[in-house]
Amino acid sequence: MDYALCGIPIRLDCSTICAKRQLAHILQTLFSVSPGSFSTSSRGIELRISNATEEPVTGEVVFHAPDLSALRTARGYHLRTPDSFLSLDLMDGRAEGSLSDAFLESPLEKQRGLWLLALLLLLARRGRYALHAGAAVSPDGQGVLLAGVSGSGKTTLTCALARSGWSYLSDDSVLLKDTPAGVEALAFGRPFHCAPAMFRHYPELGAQSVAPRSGKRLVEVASLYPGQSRSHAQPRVVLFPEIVATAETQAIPLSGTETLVRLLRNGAAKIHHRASMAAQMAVLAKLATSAHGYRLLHGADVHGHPQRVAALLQQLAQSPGGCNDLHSAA
Amino acid sequence: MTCIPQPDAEVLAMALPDQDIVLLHQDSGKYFSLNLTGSLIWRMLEASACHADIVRELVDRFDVTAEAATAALREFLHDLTIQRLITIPREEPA
Repeated sequence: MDYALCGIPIRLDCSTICAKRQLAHILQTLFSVSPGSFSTSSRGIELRISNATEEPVTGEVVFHAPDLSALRTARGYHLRTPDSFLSLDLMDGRAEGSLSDAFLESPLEKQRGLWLLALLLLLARRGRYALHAGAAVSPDGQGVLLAGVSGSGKTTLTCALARSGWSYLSDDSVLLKDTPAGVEALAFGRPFHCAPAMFRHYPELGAQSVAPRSGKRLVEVASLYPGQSRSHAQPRVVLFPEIVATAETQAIPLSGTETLVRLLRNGAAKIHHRASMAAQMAVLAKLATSAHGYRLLHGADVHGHPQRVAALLQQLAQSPGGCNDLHSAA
Repeated sequence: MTCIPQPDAEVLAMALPDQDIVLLHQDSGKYFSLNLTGSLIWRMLEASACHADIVRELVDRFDVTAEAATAALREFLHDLTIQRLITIPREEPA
């Protein structure tokens, strides 16, 4: 069986059927991977996992952390964990490497970094560009992006909107795709990334937590908000949330340039491939032009009165650009 | 003879409807936004305008003296050079 992710065919080529099943399960749990078809003529992605020995690799080290490092090579990148590696050929859309049993059996949040980086680099060459953003759709069908760094409140806002009846794509990462009708956001990351402090306001999330350890926990929310998951949306509004010590949430309009710069901040990864950058920037510029950007200073009402915040965002999505400095209590 | 700075080949420039320009350096991944004045200068650099033409345009558009415009242009070009957004071609012998 082959798979698809955000419309891009994926072929898994593993040394054993068991390993292929295991890899498919990991990718389906972490990302919005679904069954699909793959042909050699399709511009897809191939993941080839074997017991190959890692050959010496030379290249510029572009990222280094204890659990993951990346070298830039002639054909793409070489990603390495302490006991596994993936070599990315971005020209051919292929990742080849060897993954240890210990890596494959480690908690998913430990594996996520390697898979995320590999897929985002491969998908960018296939016209799917990552944005560090949550995404939700109002009851009347208006798409809203919540773009920002970790800790800016994307997950909290996405959960507040889901509780108020909105649909959601993701709390943390979407892919952007250029279409003749405009820029489309595609659901990418599956589980929500919840700080344990959220569980005080959203106890149902704590019950669904699948990674009981320190730091953010992965939470599968499909059963908490049934029927509210969406695969894609056309964003009408792009919000850049900031947590502030006020009672009421406030939205402050941004110019197209300010919106594009903030989108670049959340979309231009530290590790990037130059062949994809021009197209990625064009998509972000199209989004900054077609959707309206706002700083969203969200206050205590996100927890106390999420329906008020949902009403504010619905108002923005219905008449974007026509509002100035809106407050949630207005 | 004065050399005319050129936008670096690695730089992507995106003009938005609000007239500002956003620059992205493909090699470093760094991005920059230019205000109205910076965007005007950038467009003139793209058109290979010389220093004197740019200064004249700044004086005409922004009601500044030629000395102030020259100093501002020099500082702006210095910043662009530091960020590798422009290159200054080697001076050819006359």
